[in-house]
Amino acid sequence: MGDTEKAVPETEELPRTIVRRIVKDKLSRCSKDGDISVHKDALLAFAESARIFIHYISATANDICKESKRQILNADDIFKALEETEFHEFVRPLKASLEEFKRKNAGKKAEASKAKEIKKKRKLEDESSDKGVDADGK
Amino acid sequence: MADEDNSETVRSEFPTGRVKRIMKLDSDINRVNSEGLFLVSRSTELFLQFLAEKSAQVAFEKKRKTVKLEHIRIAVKRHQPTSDFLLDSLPLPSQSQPLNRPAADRSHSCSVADKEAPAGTRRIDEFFRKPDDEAPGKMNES
Repeated sequence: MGDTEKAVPETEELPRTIVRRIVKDKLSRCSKDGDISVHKDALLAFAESARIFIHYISATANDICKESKRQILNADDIFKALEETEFHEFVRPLKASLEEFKRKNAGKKAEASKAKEIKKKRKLEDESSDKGVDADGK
Repeated sequence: MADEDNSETVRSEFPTGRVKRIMKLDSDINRVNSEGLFLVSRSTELFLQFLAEKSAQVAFEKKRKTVKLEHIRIAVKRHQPTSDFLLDSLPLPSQSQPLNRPAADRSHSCSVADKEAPAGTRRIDEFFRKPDDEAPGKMNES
């Protein structure tokens, strides 16, 4: 992504262009005449809100994760966090998105491991053809 | 990330690296797996859409064609789960309007709400950079 943020590294913000796009796409779907716009201050507030939401959900999920004596946040922790923070309506669409995400990744993983296999084989073949005499291995 | 589009819609996605970095500003958080990270991104997207819609409704009620900060504030106030973590953290208007802001009524012990800060304020970041401070959502009582 060619998002050149002028943000200071310490603050870590979401790319404004993406925030803007998400908000405007939604608004154009909402409004009947489709000519609703967003004030600059409001856009900043949307971006901040999203960022704070990330912190909020992550922290809640993290507590849940730690309660189960685990170290790594997983999908389940996020779902539980959403329930706990009363954003139940997000759960169903997210489960659908997650399925799609898993499908995509499964495909990628299969490809990646195949590629690895091929690389490995090639390397072994190269090595065995290089070594004319396999003496002590050195 | 945005290049991987669904076949149905062109959907904007947050870059996962950025989301992860934001998450990790909280020193409590160790690691997250790819599914968890994906869900954090995606749920933030949903939240943003939700907030946008609610804010637009407020703007519509007030017969406005431009969504403004005060519309967002009202929308946040109306939705308890959102208000719980967000109301006190919303940026203040850039122009110092003599609004009868309800925040003035609430005698909060929390200094966050009282601090006058410029638009696009960074004060929340201070909370998240300091390891011993908790998230504002936990500090504030509604």
